[in-house]
Amino acid sequence: MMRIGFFINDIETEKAGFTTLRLAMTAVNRGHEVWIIGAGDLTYDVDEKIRAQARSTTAKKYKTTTTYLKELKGPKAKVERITIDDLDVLMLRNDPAHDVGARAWAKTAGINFGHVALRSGVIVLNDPTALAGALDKMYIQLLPQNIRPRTLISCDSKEIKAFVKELGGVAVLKGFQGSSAQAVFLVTQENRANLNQMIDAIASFGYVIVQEYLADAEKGSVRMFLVNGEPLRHKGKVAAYQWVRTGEGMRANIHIPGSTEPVTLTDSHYHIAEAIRPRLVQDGIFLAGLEIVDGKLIDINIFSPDGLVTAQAFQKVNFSEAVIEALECKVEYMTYYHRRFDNVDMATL
Amino acid sequence: MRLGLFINDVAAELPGYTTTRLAQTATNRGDEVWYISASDFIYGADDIIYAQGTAAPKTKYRTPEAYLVDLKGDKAVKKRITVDDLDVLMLRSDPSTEIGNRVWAQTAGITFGRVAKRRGVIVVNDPDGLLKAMNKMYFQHFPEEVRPRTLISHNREDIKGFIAEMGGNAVIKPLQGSGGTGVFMAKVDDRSNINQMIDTLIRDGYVIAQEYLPAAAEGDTRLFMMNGKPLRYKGKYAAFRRLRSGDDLRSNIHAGGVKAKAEITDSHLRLAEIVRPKLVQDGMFLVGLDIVGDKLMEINVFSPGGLGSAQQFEKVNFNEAVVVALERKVIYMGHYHRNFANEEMAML
Repeated sequence: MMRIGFFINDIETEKAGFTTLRLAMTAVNRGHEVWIIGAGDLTYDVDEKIRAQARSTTAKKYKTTTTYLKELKGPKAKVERITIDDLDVLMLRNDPAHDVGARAWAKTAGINFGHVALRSGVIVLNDPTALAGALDKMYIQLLPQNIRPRTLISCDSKEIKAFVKELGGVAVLKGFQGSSAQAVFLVTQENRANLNQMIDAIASFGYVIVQEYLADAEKGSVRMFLVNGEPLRHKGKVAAYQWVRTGEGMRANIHIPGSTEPVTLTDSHYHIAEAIRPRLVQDGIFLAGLEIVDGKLIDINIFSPDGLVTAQAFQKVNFSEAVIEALECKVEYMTYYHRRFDNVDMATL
Repeated sequence: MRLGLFINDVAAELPGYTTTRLAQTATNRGDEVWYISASDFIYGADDIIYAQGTAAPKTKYRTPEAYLVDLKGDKAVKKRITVDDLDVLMLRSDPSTEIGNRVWAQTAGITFGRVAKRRGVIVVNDPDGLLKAMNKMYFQHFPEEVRPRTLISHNREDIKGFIAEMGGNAVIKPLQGSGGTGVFMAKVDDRSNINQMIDTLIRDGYVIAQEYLPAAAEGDTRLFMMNGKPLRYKGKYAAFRRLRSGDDLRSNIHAGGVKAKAEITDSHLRLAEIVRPKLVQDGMFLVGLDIVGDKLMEINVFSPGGLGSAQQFEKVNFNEAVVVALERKVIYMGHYHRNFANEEMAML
């Protein structure tokens, strides 16, 4: 039995379809002690321990995440002050993009407290140091150049315009960090008259990313999961699916209308996964979600990659179980080494 | 040496800033010094980091004032420089002043600095170290014995419980954000405002509650550490005291009060010794320790200021020691063909 904590944004905003809940439920069903912790629930205590006001459930098995979530939120839930230092695993699964404005403080709570929990030999995933460096979109620039779209990052409108021109007048403009990170514009020959306004809309909140436009992005993107730095494979199937755009909107994004379908991965997808593996291992990235268009990596989510349930539905394989098994393996390793082992290395073992 | 100084904004630099003195000293020694403001970086389409740099004309400057006049004036050189070709990039911006619409500027130096260090630019303080220090949780990673007793929580009752345990006297402040902003003193003889103080802070995130040290009433001592050791030049320690002015109990953190000569004691040196391993681990080349009694109140790793004050009391040009230390790193890096771990080079 392992003791595992899932750090999330807020129990109130959790949905039954979230990958986090599926992972938590799978862990419960495998007999583990599972605690859900919201962004504001942590305490650095006077005795130097990290504690949390955490939630858990009482039944032995759950059939659906709907019942599991209902019980977590309901009066039957166990709400206790637990000691994070005593956990075996702390999964940081909050999505910082959802905590904006007055809740911006919540973006880094898991990272900050997670750093401290490392002192007691808690396995913290993904490694909090890597997460701290991935709060803006520079992280993808640290991956090999040939698997990324061509990119310029600047605040200077002259630089931005020159690069848009170099790209033939068609480019994607995105916010780099913080409150502008959700802003995305497609610059085309037709709307170039508005280029100044698009730049200003982003640049007033920081740096602007200018990126080569990939024609296939119109159709959608391939989502693929990596565990321990390798494609998540379980019972001969790889966790991936195709996201198909059905509505208007710039980017393959879950907020834009779209549907999902099965996908057959090609060598090009595996090549990307292989090219980024060294960096993911170096940074202690246990679980990552890739978004691939036209042989290029357009996004990597190392905070709370979602959609594992979709992959499960298409492949008829319980990938969540594979993820929990990988954690069980780490916890066993950690026992042999008396909870003294570098977290970054442990993350992808 | 080709030195880049990353700061908040060239236009806002003042003659009294330690950064200005460092720039003037380096320029006078014949080094090439480029200022880079928060919005000046460019990640080029060729994967190289550039910047719109600003430099004062190469000459000898007698005062920081004269240097700044040239840096901000018409004679300044403004050029697109290749950051990856610099020898040293010194991150000297103060994130605590970048608020509201400019929060993005808090991390710009760290973000671009992490990329630049891959190309053999010596980036100090190490940007990965600075990333860990973006909020006050960093302090909790130093040994318990040098810190005041502390609780960090988002729960009002927890915080009140701690204050009661401390006998009613405690300092409360936000986990994120720095400087003297949002720092409150809970006093045993004035408990009326406790809830309001806590609620004000909780609205913006986690709250640090800290034991109040009576010795803070007399002020604190700032001691500079360089390469993980107390900065000592020509037999003098780079340090000074800040005496508390009036009744502002916040001098726990940032005394605006009168400065005085510091006497560096064995207790100060012991503290410096205890924090050394962690500073070395994180590549913290230049930091300022704020010491009260035998406890550390704060560690400034972003843009520790006051080298000029230390110079005023000790009559020694500490800026020279800092620039010489950087030049030495550049020579090391030449021997190793710019291929050496940054966090280690930062402390050599």
